[in-house]
Amino acid sequence: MIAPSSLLRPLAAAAFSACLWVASGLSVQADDFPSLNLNGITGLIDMPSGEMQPDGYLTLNHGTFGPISRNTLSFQILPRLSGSFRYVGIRQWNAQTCPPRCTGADAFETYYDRNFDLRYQLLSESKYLPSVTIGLQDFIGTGLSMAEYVAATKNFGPKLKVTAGLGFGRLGSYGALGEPFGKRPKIDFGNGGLPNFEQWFRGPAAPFGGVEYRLSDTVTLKAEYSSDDYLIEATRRGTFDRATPFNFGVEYQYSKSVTLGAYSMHGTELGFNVSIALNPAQRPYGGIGGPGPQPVQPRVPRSERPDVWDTAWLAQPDAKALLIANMNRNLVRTGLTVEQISVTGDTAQIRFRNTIYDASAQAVGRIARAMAYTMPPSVEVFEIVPVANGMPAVKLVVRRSDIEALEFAPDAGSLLGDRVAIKEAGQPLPDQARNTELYPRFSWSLGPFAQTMLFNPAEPFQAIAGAQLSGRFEISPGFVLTGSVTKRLFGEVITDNRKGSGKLQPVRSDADQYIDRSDVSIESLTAAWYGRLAPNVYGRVTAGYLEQMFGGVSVEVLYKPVNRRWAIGADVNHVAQRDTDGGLGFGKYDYRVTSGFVSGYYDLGRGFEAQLDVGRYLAGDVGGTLTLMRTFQNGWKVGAFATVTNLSAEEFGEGSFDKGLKFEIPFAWFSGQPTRLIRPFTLRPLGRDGGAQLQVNDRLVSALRGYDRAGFDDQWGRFWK
Amino acid sequence: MMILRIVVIALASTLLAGCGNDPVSGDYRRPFQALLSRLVPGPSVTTLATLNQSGILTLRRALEEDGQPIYLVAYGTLKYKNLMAPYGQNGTVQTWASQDYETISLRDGMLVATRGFGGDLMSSAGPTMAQIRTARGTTQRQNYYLDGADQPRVFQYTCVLAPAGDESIVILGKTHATRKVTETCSGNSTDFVNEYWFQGGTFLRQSRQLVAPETDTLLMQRVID
Repeated sequence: MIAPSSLLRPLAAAAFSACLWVASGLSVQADDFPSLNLNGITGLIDMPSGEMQPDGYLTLNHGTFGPISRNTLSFQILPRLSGSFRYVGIRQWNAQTCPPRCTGADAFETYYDRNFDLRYQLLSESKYLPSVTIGLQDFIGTGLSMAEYVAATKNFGPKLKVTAGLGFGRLGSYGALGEPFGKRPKIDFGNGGLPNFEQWFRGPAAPFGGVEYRLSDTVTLKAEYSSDDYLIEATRRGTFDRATPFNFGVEYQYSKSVTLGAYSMHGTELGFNVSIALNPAQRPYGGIGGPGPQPVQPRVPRSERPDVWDTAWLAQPDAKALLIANMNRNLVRTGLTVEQISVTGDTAQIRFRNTIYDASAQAVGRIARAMAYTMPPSVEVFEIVPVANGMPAVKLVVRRSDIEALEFAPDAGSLLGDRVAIKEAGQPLPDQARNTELYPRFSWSLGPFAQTMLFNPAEPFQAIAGAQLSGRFEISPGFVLTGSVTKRLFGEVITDNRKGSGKLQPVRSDADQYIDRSDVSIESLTAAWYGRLAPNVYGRVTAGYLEQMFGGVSVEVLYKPVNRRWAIGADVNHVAQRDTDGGLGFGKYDYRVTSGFVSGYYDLGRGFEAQLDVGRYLAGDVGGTLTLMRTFQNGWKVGAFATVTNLSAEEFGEGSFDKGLKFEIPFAWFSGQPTRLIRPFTLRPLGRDGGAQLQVNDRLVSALRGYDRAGFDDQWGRFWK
Repeated sequence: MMILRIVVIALASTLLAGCGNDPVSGDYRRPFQALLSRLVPGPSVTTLATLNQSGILTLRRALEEDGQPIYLVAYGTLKYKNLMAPYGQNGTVQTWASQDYETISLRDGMLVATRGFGGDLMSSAGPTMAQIRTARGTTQRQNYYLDGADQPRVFQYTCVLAPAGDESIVILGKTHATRKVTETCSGNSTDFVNEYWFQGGTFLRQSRQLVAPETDTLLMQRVID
């Protein structure tokens, strides 16, 4: 599968920051958490345990022993529910069969497989009872690593932990006691990608278990009895010798987020494990950094200086231009810019753009302070309107006397929050002026880029890197030309020859060719218009080279009431598939399609949001995509999506239907400094042509992100930062 | 190893210098520079912290000539040391700022808020400086913070005031005779001690006051009155 160019950065940043923590020895996690096993799930060495990671934790794990390597990403979806995605590689796969047999499964020197796991904790540990978890391992698809288990873990004091469990499938393959729920049918996985219900908890059941002993705060000893016979890897293919069911190891907690392990596996092999645990809910450094704000400048009381309180300034012809200039001078070190001002005697409205603050409330707080410094004393009501891509997004109405009175009041955040009104953006006040210096405005950047291609069996992790030149020309508010060109400097890719079913237009399965064939590539070249069409209604039209693989026209409308938990939108895109050389042509494929969706967005509360898109996809298939995300107040989102269309599993090809994991990772979490930079990141186990959507920059929902009641409520405390 | 390869590419793509005038895309390296500068103390910290005796006296002379009121502020937890000058006044609260816009807000010398330090004291309720000066009795404090999810957290403390004798202190090369008062606070599983050094009975020459739980207290020395 090929990822968009932005794919690498979040993961990269995660790994990079982890390195810095290691280097600095800074403590980044507050809590103690159970260890991960070689499978990257909570457990012993190779066996699972009954425990869970703390709620919301995201863990990255690399575990290897003998010829087997596993990279696992796990997420604690709920306090009792966790999910994992794993990429397994088994070396020496065909060493004993090829030659002479070198076809089918025997064609691979290293066999790669993808796993999905789910674990649910039935019982959490109490004084007398252990924690008990039921788990499904590799429960979708070919099921090479498929297993089901129940595991119980009990702590005896702060040092000793004992686990016992009963496994089925792979975990029932050694030392089985019998078949309590009957025979295990043979898997018929078809095109893969579907759960194998029939097999769950069937067939031989075998016990496993082990102990963990904490030698010190950082060192833990582990021993386990494994019920995994490694039938395929050891017995059938001879990739290693499984001499005993016993594994032993020692783990060292390098920092609070990084744990290292070394093991003796099955009497013959050495094993190693590295795990990184992240808590998206809390920035590692706690409160956000960045320069402090200018203090609130209170007005001279009217009784002392009635002259400065009069409204004669309103008649001054250049008053608004002066106020814009003064505001922008005041805001110069904040990264905020005033776009428009409108005034009456006692009310002033500022429309501004925010390119810095991840928390909308902090941007509004800085504007409010600048207004307190700049506005004539007669102005009592501040209307503060963030503008995103030229669209007024929301209006906050703040009383100046509240800001003056509450700046140093205990619990100032809550007190002010109760007094601020959050409204639909509305119209400017009658007497208005624009910042004439803002448009037209050209900006550019030259920086590095990287693009990855994952899960090609020939080379599962491939990447290219190089330089990216981007330009942005804002002609007037909401009307912008953008372009981006990349030049490859490092890396090559081996194209994936497992293609789609052949019946569908290769709308995504040829993505590797776009990386392979292009040296200098026009990533995008578009003209876009954004606007507020009516109260709570926003529109977008983008035309040109929209993404690496498609060009055309994309039209979108969004209805998003600022005080509601839902939004509804629609988009229609008429596009043609671009040539693979990164140039301007469309001749290679001669493929045109009209794709479009009706999309519903709903904030389910308790940190979950759902999105449903129903419509026509790039290959012409018709269906729906459901996306469910866990959201964190600081902007992290972690979730999954699945798309079902009118294509049969056979027509879709390997994987049966499109599905994957989604992440949105705010850079502010890593850096501890305010930045609006968020990299979305989609991980698809298989990139096929069914259920493929167009990827247009700055869709309305992302452009307006954070500018609604929920966005302000989540981070309101940042108003005073 | 996949993770290692990601790290290598990450380093390459993050540390390569970019340029441009686009505030959004040009922005992403800044946080990392900030992160790095936090790990490796910046020049302003080093210069102030490593001044020799003649350097200290030269600095003091320059500050005295300039005449503007100055605090010398040091925060051990962040290896921070900087000079601060008046930045704003709202009612009885005066805000002081460094040239890098870290700020402290003082009500008659009592620290009521900080900004620019990351884990800032967002707001607080506590005793008056007049109470502290009496050096006896108990005080109540509520400190408000934002956590790593930007959610408000309040910490409550009960504190006991006590005299701690006379002490001669040196601030930027100049010696001051002071009377010390301690405020010993406990609550919310963290304990700390604020310290106050009064000169001539009433003038707060120096203090150490808590910014955030589990960090060093902030040292504030009044260099120029």
